[in-house]
Amino acid sequence: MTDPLVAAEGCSVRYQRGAQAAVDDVTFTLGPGDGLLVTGAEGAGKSALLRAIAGLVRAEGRLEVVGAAPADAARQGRVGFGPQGRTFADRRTPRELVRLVAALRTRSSPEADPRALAEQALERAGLEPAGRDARALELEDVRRLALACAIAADPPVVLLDDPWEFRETHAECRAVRERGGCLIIATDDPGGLPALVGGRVLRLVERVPA
Amino acid sequence: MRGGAAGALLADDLAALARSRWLVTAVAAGALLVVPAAAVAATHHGLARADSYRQSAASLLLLGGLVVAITLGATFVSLATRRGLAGLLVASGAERVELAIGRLAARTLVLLATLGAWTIALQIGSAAIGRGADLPLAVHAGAMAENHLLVMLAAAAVGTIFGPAVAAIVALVVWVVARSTVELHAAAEHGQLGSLANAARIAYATLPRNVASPMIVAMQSRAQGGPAAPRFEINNVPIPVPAAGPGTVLWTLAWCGLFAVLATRGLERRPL
Repeated sequence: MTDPLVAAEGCSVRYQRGAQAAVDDVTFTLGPGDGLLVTGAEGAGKSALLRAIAGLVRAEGRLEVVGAAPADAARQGRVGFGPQGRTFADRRTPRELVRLVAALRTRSSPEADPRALAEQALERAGLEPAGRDARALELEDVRRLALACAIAADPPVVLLDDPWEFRETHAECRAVRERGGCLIIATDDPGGLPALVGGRVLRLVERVPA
Repeated sequence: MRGGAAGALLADDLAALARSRWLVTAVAAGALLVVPAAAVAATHHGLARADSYRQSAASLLLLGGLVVAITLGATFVSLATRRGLAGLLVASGAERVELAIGRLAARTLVLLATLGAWTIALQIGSAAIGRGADLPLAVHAGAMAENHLLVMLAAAAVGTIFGPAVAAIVALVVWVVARSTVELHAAAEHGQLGSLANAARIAYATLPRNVASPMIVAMQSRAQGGPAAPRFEINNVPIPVPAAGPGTVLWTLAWCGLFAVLATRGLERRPL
């Protein structure tokens, strides 16, 4: 049996000790080639779950990413994270940000060329104005930048928080699964995204799986 | 990249800060304020000219420096976290310690560069009004750099737990405490605090201290310190505040180190 890439069992996230869980009692297993769509209304806990898998918040229960704790997997460059929102690039250009992300993700591979990997990711995400200050980008291009950040250097686990459905999004989601990675997408507007994850959906209602 | 992640994160934050409009405006405004300071000083002669120019310079270094230091410290991680950048970088493989070291180092460099730019402008202004290079003023700028580093790091440490506004207020309190510690200790040594003298000495031995330059204490003792160093009196008795010695310089640096460690620990524990 193949080892899972992401395994969650009774997983909960609390931003403060003793506070109400942002997401509670989530269980799922994803192996190579698998996908999962996490849906639910705003505040349902979708982003909290993705951030726990990315190692950004501590999770209770069991949560493993590529056989390690989420923070360790992220440190080893195993996780590709495409954040939500439009401000994450701040005063950087898309090229600068994706280069930095690629450099961090490949830090243990001296032979990797972060500049080349960044250019590939920007091209694959369909992001044209890669040299402009990110604050001047249209929202559509910011969402492409999030996709480029997630796929740079082809990590085995790709997390997309509120992605937009571009042709490139579809192509990259298929590519992640075809090369044996796994994909988790969080959205409150599924549209055509269920097809990209093989129809597997985790619906959160008031912070717990429905 | 192994071992160089903190350097890459430092360079990234430096590049972003160099594009921030408020910082560029602050550096330029500070440098331009030298012009009216020099123009006013030029209307005086002799010691009055030196006092006038140094008063303005000390006010710029104090107030402008506080604004820059507090803003740099209070936004150390809070904005990057709120906007999602810190989370993206950590999810991409940056260790939180590296992120903290990189961003603290970048902000320290920016603070020093800002004060350095103003000091160069002040030296040019000094030469322009016929006073030549002003070494005591340059030493004062160095003392203010250490004071502002303390304030910036205090704001950074608090900013990992609370928002930027709270971090800014606490950093200002740290500034006031550091200054009061030195002034009250001076008052205790001059027998002006009575039974509170021991409390002032304990505070001096434990709390962060303001680093006062020889130039500013000399001006303060002549009631020429201006807004940066008003005359210190208790019961109408003027208290001479001594210039900081090597012990105070090292003690304040140790407090800077403590705040830097707290900021790093805060970022390690914070949800991103």
